[in-house]
Amino acid sequence: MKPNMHDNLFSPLSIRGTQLSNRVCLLAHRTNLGITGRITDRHIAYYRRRAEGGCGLIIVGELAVHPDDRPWETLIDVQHPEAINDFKKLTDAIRQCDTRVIAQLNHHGFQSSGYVTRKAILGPSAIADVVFGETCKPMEPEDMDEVVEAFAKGAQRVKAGGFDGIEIDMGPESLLRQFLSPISNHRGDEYGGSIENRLRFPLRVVDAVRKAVGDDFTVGVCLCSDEKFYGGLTTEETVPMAQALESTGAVDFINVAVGTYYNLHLIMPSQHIPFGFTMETAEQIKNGISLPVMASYQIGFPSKAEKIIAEGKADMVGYVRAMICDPDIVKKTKEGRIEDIRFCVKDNKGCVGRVNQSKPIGCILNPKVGCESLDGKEQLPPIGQKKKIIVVGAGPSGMEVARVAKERGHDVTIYEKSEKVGGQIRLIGKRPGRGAMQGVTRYLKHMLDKHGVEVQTGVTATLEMILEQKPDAVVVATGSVPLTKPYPGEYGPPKVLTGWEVIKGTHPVGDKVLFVDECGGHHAMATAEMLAEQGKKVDLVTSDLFIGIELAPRGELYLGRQRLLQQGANFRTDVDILNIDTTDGSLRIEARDIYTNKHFFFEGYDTLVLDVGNKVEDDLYHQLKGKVKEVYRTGDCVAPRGIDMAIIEGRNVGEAL
Amino acid sequence: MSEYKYLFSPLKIGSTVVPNRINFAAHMTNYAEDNLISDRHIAYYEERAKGGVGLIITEEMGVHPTDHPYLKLVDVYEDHVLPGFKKLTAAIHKYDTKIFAQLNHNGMQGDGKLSRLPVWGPSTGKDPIFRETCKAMEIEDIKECVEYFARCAEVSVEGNFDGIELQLGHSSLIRQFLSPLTNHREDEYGGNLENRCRFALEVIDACRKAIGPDFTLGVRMNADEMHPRGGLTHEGAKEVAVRLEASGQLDFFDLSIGTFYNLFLVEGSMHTPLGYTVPLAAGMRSVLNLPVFCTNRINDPHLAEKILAEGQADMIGMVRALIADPELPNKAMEGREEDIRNCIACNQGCIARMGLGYHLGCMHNPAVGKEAELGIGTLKPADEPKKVVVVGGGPAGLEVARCATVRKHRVILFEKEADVGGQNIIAGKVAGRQEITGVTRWLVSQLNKLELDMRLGVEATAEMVLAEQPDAVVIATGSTPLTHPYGGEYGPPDVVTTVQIITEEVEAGDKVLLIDLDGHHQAVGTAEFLADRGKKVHMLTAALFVGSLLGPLQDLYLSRNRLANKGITFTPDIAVLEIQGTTVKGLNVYSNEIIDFTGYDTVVLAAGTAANDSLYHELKGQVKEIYRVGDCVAPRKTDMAIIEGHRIGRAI
Repeated sequence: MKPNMHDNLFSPLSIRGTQLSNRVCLLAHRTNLGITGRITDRHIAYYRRRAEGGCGLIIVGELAVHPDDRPWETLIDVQHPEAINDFKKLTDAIRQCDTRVIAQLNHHGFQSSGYVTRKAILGPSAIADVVFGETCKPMEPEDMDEVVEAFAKGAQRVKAGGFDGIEIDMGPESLLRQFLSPISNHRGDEYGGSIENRLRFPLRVVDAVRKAVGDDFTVGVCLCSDEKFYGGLTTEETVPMAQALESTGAVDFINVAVGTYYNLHLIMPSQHIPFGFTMETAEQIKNGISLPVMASYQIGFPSKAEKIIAEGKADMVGYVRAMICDPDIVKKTKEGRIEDIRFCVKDNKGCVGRVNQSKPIGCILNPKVGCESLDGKEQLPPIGQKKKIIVVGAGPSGMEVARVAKERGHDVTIYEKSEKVGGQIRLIGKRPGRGAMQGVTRYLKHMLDKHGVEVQTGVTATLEMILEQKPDAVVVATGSVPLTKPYPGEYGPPKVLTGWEVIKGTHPVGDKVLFVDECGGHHAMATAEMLAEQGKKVDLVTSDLFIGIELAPRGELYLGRQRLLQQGANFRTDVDILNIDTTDGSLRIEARDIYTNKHFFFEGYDTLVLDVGNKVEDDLYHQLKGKVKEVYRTGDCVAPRGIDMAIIEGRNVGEAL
Repeated sequence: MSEYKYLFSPLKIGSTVVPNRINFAAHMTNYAEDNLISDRHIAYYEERAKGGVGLIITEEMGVHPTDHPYLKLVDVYEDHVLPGFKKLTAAIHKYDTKIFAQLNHNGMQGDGKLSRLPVWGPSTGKDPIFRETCKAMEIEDIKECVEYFARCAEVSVEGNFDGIELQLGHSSLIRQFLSPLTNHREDEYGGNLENRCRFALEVIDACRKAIGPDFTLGVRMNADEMHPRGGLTHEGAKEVAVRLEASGQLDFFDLSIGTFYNLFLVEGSMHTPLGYTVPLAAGMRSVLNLPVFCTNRINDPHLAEKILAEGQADMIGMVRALIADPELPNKAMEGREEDIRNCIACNQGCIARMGLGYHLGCMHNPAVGKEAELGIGTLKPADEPKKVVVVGGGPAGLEVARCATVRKHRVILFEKEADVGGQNIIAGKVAGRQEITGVTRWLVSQLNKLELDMRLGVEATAEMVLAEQPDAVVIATGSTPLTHPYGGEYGPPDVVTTVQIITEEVEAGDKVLLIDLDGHHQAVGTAEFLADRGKKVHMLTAALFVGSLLGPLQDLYLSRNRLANKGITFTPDIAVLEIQGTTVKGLNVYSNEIIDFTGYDTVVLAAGTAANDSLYHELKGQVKEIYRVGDCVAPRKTDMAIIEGHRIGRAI
């Protein structure tokens, strides 16, 4: 691919004096890297790494203008006495690259709680947020004055801290959106009712921020341009709102956002949400104003980004997960190395899934996220002595070990017993809506090919075979297999199958299926969905309180349950399976209600599918242990977990060899 | 004082003499910063020493990098922990109080989300809370873990602790080795009792070697996992204890109960009987020679004394009791029992906040975690005594009145009802929730000792308040249940609020539909209240399950258990669209199917409350100082009412 394929994406843009070298922006997002209200070295390393990757603009989020706004502890307090010094360290680090950096200033309003501050939260009207569930205090005039002042003071502080500009947050999780939206603003005074009134408070903030920073400083707005919820903001109102913002003369760009906490699956769209689903909204805003407009959400592919800019649908594109996963995506795009890009697969487990559980940000594919090199020199450690390394298993873990070890200069061979590489990802990717997971394998396979790692597929490695080759080190990455006998009783195929067997189609599945889900993730739900799409009647049963218990932090719960229910699935919760019997050719499933302790039988099912977890494939490891100089194991064959840990451990061993 | 023959007698534990029999047992605080002991920790523990506790055992401190189940764990294996340890122990040693370090590895009761390492367990398996499959420890992992325990024991000695407690209790790797529920090993660490005890004994031996013969070392062990299907039974635990004692390396046996399969036993709420673990302590004591500690729901000195007097234990562990009132020991010793702010086991400020990752608090002690600022002796008289009118005698108003009066302000308190307590009294009428009124009991006990003008049964108007010519007015008028949260034609007596039911203002018909937007005790407690009176109750919620906020309180399992056994049924995932008469139109939020719920005699709404803020707005601008506190600012829970009441009581 020729570099000039992305000319528009790499054309410069000037926004009130801020010169951007290209049109790609890393948008504001949560990292949870903050400690005691301050920016940390981890933040600086994280953002510097992305600046090194060549994006034109970084917008730093997590900045709270008021100390009483603390929905979570890791926010950065703009009023902290050390904040300006901290900002300088951050902006100095980013400025070493050809990247500009803007501070997003926010107040979360009632999308918060008093759990951290032990104070009342604020909002336009007395509302309890759907996520936090705490009723807020409707703001009094003096509360509003205080928040306006906090924005102004915050603006001065970030300017003093060396930022190139400010983005005022009126996006999905902001007090200012709560004022704009008829869902949350029920005020009877001059701040509620008409569009003009609902805009009054946000415009006061814009005005105060502009006054605080003067005329030669860039100020933009992240505007929730469609809440996509009953009775909420749509472009019918947000286009005039954007126009009103433009007409103040104080605003330099509009960043188009969508969604609210009512539909978190839109704010953190997973694989199930179509690419570019916000483009129509962005285009409408763009057509309504003359300010530069930024479009974002699900635009991680360079060709799509280029098209958006080329067709004039937006002036900038915002990436987040694409740059978490591959900080060098912009550089690689510019160099025409599209194949080398490690594309985000929107699994959401490593990034939003962790962040929503108050863990530092991560990425299932990029093990360095959140622990980037503090000195800014990220490279693989040099090897002491070239080793002959055998890796057993070409799932994500084995492939990552091989990639890293080979890049460092070792001699690496992988043995994979299947005909194709990818391990469990091959099965995962066959489930409805989860095809993008194949991207994990695509990238790793491409890198192995590129670096010339010898991959021997269709070969089951044995102890003898390995010892014969006299390797210096062996890495066992043999993965895990589903538990087939987790409950007492006499049973097995074809009446009782594992999720894997269903995907592989090893046995015919009957019309009425009972699916046991003890993992609460995609394995059960997506496999059940596959069966439902084949026309089976599928009921899911779990001992948990609800089906899909692991999926909420990843923004997958709502749509996942919706798809299943709309395909006629039923959910039965709070049930332990006690015994299964298929000896007389029928399917007898004895169960117990956890709360009432009543025993009962599930009747009328043709097939029972089990998803109750995996067990390690560690035989080869134990056979090799003590027989070769160095033996390691990584990923599921240590303990069955997931792709994130498989790749982290693969990387760690790849670097340690 | 003579009332407590045993409680205030000293106890020799190994080489340590503890001045009395009260132990502030180990518990999470989330006060760590950067995985180190913080100043907040020190002030928190010091407050309890000041309050007269004999022994403090620190929160669990992690011995190995594979154990990082939550962000704010204190790690011992790093050398830079020592300054914090020394500062902490020095602060406690200013008092006649001893302090032990608790060392732990949580094993498979954790996940790798923070450590990014596999979690360790005796055998492969998943903890029900963390849901991550662990790595079955290899022999070298076991050896490494033993070494780390020993190293951390050495660090604890250097940190000037008086002793060490090894965690073998509800959340610990060592228990996982002891228990047949989690240990399925086939090597010398699994199988028979001797093998299952091997890891524990190796850790104990290594620690003893590291600290020398004279340093106090004990264990907190599980006296009964109480698991219905296998696991460590009380008899099994006794056998383990006897073996551990026979090692000759130990000085005491602290006890715990339950596992993560039954957390409602580990952290018993007010639905759990007081002193529910006493028989287990007595059982362990019957087979042991070393001192035995008994903990869990012992919230008052009389109960503590009785347990000691009856020879059921040698030491009484208190956690929540001393969180709620650090001065419990001193107050008991001085015969001021009625001044004790007893823990009511609501679990809202302590356990729930721990589970959610917030710093430790207490529903009715606002000073928890802020001892340096709000602790003992900090409530000083005001420079200028003022005339203060407080409107509303719920928890917020009572706390304002208490603090302001202690500070020598002249306080007039208006309460429109004949008695104080507000919603706290109503909350106590819900099934099994009587103990929550302890909040009001304590506040009233304190106000009774103070000079203030209480005007009960008087609904204050703006005119009445202004007529008093106050220097400051505090509005604490609370909130009122929402009676019309949905569109449609409906109202009492067919459609009523939970408050109308539990105050018996309205009697429900035989078939009741309860709409739960609460997720808390108000809804489930009202359902139970109705079921106890023979009504057939069905509950609707838009949440994924009924009782959605009860999990962190450790009330979820038992509540749902009671509801299910009382025949109460649930439909989750339903957003109510409108009500007509007693017909409730609901939308399944997933399938978008619209369902009419019909055939009910009464519909009960647990739909939250609205602030009673009209008096505040009327008075605003008309008096010099005006404040509002609690639900009339924004309807929340008792903790915020008391925190805000306290804050304003100090600020006036």
